[in-house]
Amino acid sequence: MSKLKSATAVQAGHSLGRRIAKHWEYYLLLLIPIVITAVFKYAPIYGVQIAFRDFNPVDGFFGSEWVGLKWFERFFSNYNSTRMITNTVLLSLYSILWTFPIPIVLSLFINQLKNKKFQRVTQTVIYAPHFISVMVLCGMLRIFLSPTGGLISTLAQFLGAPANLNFIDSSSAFRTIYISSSIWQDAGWGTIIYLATLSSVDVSLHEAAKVDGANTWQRILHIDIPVLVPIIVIQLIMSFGSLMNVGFEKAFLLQTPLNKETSEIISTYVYEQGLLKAMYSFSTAVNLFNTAVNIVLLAVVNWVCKRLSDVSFI
Amino acid sequence: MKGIWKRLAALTLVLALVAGLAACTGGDNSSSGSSSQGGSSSSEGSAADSSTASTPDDGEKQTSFKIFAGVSELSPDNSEKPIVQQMNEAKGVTIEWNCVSGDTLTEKKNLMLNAGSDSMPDAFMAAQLKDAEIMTCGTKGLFIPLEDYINEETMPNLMSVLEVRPDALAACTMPDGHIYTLPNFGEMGFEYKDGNTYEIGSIPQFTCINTKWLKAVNKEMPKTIDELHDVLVEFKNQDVNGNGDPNDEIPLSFIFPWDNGAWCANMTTLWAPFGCTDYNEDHRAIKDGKVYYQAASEEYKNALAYFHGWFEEGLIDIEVFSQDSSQYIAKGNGEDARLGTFVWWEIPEVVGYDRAEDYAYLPVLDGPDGTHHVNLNQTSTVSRDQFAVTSACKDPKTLLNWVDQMYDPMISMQCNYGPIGVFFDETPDEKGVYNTIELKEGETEGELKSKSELLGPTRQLTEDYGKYFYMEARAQQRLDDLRDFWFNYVDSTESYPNVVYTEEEIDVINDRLSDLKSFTEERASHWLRDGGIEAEWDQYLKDLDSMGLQDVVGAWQSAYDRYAEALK
Repeated sequence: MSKLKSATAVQAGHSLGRRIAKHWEYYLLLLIPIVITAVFKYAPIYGVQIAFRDFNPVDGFFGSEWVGLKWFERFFSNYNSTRMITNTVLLSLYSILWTFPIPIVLSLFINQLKNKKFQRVTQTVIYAPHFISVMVLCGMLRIFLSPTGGLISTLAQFLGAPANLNFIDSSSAFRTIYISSSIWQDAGWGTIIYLATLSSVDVSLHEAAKVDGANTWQRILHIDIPVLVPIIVIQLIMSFGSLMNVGFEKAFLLQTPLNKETSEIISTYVYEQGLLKAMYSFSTAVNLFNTAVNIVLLAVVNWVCKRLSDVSFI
Repeated sequence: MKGIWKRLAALTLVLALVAGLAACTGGDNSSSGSSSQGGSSSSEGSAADSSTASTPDDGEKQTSFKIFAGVSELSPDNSEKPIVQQMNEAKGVTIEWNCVSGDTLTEKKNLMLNAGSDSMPDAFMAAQLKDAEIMTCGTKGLFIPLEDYINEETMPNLMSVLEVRPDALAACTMPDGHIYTLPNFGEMGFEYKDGNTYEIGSIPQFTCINTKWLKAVNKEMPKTIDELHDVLVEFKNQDVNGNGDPNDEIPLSFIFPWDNGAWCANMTTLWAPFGCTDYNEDHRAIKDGKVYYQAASEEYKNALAYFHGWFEEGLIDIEVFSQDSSQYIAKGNGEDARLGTFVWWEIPEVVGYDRAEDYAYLPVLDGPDGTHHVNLNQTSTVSRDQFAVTSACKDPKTLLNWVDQMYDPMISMQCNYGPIGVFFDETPDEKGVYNTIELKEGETEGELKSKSELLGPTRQLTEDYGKYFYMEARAQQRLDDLRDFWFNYVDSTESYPNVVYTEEEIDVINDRLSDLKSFTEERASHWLRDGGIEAEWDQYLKDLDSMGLQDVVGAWQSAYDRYAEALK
């Protein structure tokens, strides 16, 4: 069987043209994503060159003067460049650390629910916060955390905390606020993919385990988790892929002059410099640096995962 | 049979998509490629715009213009304003407005200026153009020089203003000798006993104190900072508003960092006891002809160190760093009086007309050494950020002739405040002068003005008050307060003048200043709240220097020196 398969593959491999002619419908369909990617993802890359130019609108992308690494030097000699990089990395690392495992645990639990109706209701209830927009969420957070009459501050005072706790303005609370609200909002949504995987587990495996006397815990440990591992690894690689691109909107909306110590991340700085101060070349350079770091990280994580579990993208 | 249908469907789908994408990219290319002819090709493309479809050749009259305009947040679109319709009819032009307000203005303006000329409007009006932008756009040819159009034929109204204010054009001239923006005249001042005229913004932050509460705690009006401290401690500890809750009184509130409306609500009048006030947004100050950065001075440090103590004691509202002006005003307007002392440019707007009687201005206090010092704010009567014409405009003459109407005294007055019948009385008084209309219940002048004004280049000259219209009562009140009360505490009236920078100076300032300012604001908030200024001050000064503070101060100084030299 396998011999036959490889034989046909080799035969067809003789000419790409013939293969395309034979299965042209599939290649036609493939064309759509290729064109979209090329146009929207690759074509705009020519704009990256302004990171090395002194961009001005009249001379445009191709006419502005070359300035070499001026903008990069400027970024690294900035008083808060180290702080920004640290903040970005720490915020995303902590985010992954806290938000990544929770959907897995949650889906293992939900999967064990016996009452299917209750299971569905639970799922819907925990999905719901995902549909609140970031803008609204941050507005809610600011109201809840307001030092005068905010829900959380009032509760804290009730439990004996000193009056006038101002969480939103304290840099030490920023990451906690950011991450815990992310968990509240997205943990439920994150369970979808794991629940789908778990539902594909062969029921006979569980039945056989039960007959052999395995309890619920043992069945989770030896049946459910091994099924989830490949998908967990893929999810992990993907979340590292966006490590340096932590949610800009949320950090920006929760930023106040007093919590900048921890809340100023590269993307908020790029927005400030690029869109508000119109320093397009400088902000392109900063973002290019950000992307470069991201690619390196992605490659490292991919390599580690490949070594550990044979699952990888690249 | 089925197979054919499938194939056909797939084929059409793909073709449609590819065609769509090709069209997209095609459009993109033409816009970035042909930058100079972009304007005409775009107007051909938008067939809906019937009047531009007859693309005018050079010299031919263009009657439809696109204007990017800044408006205030409460304002409707400019096209809905009666004054605009009147101006359009008079000159037979139509304007396609792109009105933007608030925070998005800067962002949209930047994108406009940098997107290439395809989407370029014919003019930027009230778009808060910065010197550096005028300079770059002017020298690169994006903005066109206007000096050839400033003449009797095209701009008669502006010319009549220039007759009485001949210096105005110099203030709008860029280092390369061209005028890219029209001047805006905003004079509102008072004559002080030294014979000079001072503008309304010279002292923008008036400190106000609740005199009813002062009586309740048996204290006199404070004269020194220590006396004020004792008063505020009483405000904090007692139930001075008598509502049964001793904790809802806020002894002192203001808005701290430089956004959210802090220009008139910051606390720096209270710093006078320590030898400085910091009214200027750029923290620029001058003493005996020497320019310096206020936020790097010993006085600044002492003031912050002192007021951190107040913060620790709970005398300062903890929301000073996060509140915006509407939250601030809501505090003053609430059911019970909650503010002991606050800062604003007048009393009623914050606490309402009824409660205003309970408040009085808190005079400038003396410091621990028995002295005080007020730095006057830099004020300007001519600004150059209001109107620029771009190279996309094919008939600048008609456009400038249209905008020139805004320099007509009657139209100008209605642009600055609101139309006759809305902001001003329907008919003038016996002297032919217009009065402010009687306000409806629950309306304030500020609100009415921002709903009906048209921002742009206008004339507002000292001699216009009482000739065409009467100054708003609240503005007159404020000028009187400045002259009779606040200026008694001013020892030195020196303030940084409106200088003209060279190209290099503009570059240096534009390059460095914004980072310096955000660094200062962040540190200052931190020191006020958390303290530690003694230990961190030297490092802060070093950081400022490494960020190029001396270059910026040098640019300010050399521009000032040229200005002073020209006066001699």
